[in-house]
Amino acid sequence: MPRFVLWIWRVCAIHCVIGLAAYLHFLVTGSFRYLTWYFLILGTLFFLLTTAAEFFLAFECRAGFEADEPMRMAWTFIALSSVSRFAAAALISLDHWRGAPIPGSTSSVLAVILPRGLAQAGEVAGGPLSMIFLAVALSRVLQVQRRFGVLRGLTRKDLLLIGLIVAFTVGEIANIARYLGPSFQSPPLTKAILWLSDPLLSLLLVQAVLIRRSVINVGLGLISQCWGMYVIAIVTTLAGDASIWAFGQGFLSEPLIALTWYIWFFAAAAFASAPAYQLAAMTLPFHEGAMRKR
Amino acid sequence: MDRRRTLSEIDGGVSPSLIFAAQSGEDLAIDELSRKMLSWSRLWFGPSGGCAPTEEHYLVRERLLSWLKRCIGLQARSVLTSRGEDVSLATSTSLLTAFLGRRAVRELSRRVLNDL
Repeated sequence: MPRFVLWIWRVCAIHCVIGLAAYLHFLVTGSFRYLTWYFLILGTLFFLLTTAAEFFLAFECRAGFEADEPMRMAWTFIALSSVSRFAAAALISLDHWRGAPIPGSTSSVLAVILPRGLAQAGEVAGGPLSMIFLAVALSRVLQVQRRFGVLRGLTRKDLLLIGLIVAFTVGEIANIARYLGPSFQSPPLTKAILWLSDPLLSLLLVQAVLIRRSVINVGLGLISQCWGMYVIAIVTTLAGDASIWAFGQGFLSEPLIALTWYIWFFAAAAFASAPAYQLAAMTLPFHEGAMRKR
Repeated sequence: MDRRRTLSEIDGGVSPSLIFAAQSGEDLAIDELSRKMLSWSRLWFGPSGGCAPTEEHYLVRERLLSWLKRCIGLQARSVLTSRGEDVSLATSTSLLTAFLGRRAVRELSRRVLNDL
C-alpha cells in the first residue's frame, strides 16, 4: 500500500477510535456533550485535513501530466472538487462558531464579523458544486478508458444497475419540476441548487458503475485502485445521503442516527486516498530508480 | 559524404592515408549506430514475423508486464491482447502514457531498457 494511503487510513482509524469512545459515552450516559465536541472539533479538523491532502495530491497528479495530455484536465477538476469540499467544511464550521455565544454574553464575536448563510454556501460548495467538478473529471476518465479498451464488456447486472439509477433520477427530476411549478412558492436559490444533489449523485453513481467495470477488467494495480477508491467514495456518499433521508423519514432511532454520522469520515478518507494511489503509480519508476542507485 | 568532402577541403595537405583512416572510423561508427538502432527498434516493437524472439525480447516483455501489473492492474495485459496486440513497448506506451503521463513513461521505458 502506498505511504500516503497508509497514513490517510491510519489517521482515519485513530479518529474513528476516538469517535467510538465519544459514542460509547453517549450510549452510557445519554449525553451528547462529548459526541458534539468530537464532531465539531475533531470531525471538522479531519475533514479539513483530508480535503487539503486530497487537493495537494490531486494537484501533484495534475502536474505529472503535460498540458496536452487528456488526464491533466481530469485532475484539474478533481483538485477543484476537493477545494469545494475543503471550503464547505470551513464554511459550515465557521457558521457553527458564528452562532456560539461568548461566555457571559448572548452574542458572538464571529456573528458580528461573519455574514449569515455561511452554512448554506458551504452546503452548496460541498454538495452540487463539488459533484459537478467530480462528474466532469470522471467523464474525462471514462472517455480515456473507453479509447484504450479498458472500459468494455458491460454485464447485464451493470446495465440493470444503470437502468435503476436512471429511473430513480427521472423520478427525482419530475419531483423537482413539480415543486418548481406554479402551484408551489418559488424556493430560495440555495435550496433550489441543493435539489440538484440527488440527480448529480445519480450521475456519479452511473459513472461509478462504469468505472467499477473497468477496474474489474484491468485487475488490481495502483491506477485501478485509484479509480476504485472513487467508486467507494461515491457509494459511501450515497450511504450517507440515504441515512439523512432515513433520518428525515423517522426510520432511525437516536443512537443509530449518531452512528450514521461516521459514514462521512470514510467517504472523506476514500476521496483522499484516490489521488494518493495515482501519485504512487506516477512516481514509482522514479522511486525504483533512486532505490536501485542506493 | 558532404562532411568528408569538407574535411579534405579544409586541409589539402593531409595525407591520403589519414583521410582513409578517418573515413573508415566514421563508417564503423555509423555501422555501430545503425546496428544499435536496429536492435533498439526490435526491442521497442517486439519480435516481428520474420525473426525469432531473443533473450532480450523476453526480458523486455517480462519487465514491461511487471510494470503494467504494478501500475495499471493485474490483468492490464489482457487489454492489449484483446486488441490483437502483443505486449511490447510500442503497443503499451500509449496506454501507460494515458494513465501515468509522458514523464513517468519516459522513466519507465528507461527502466525497461536498462542494461540492454
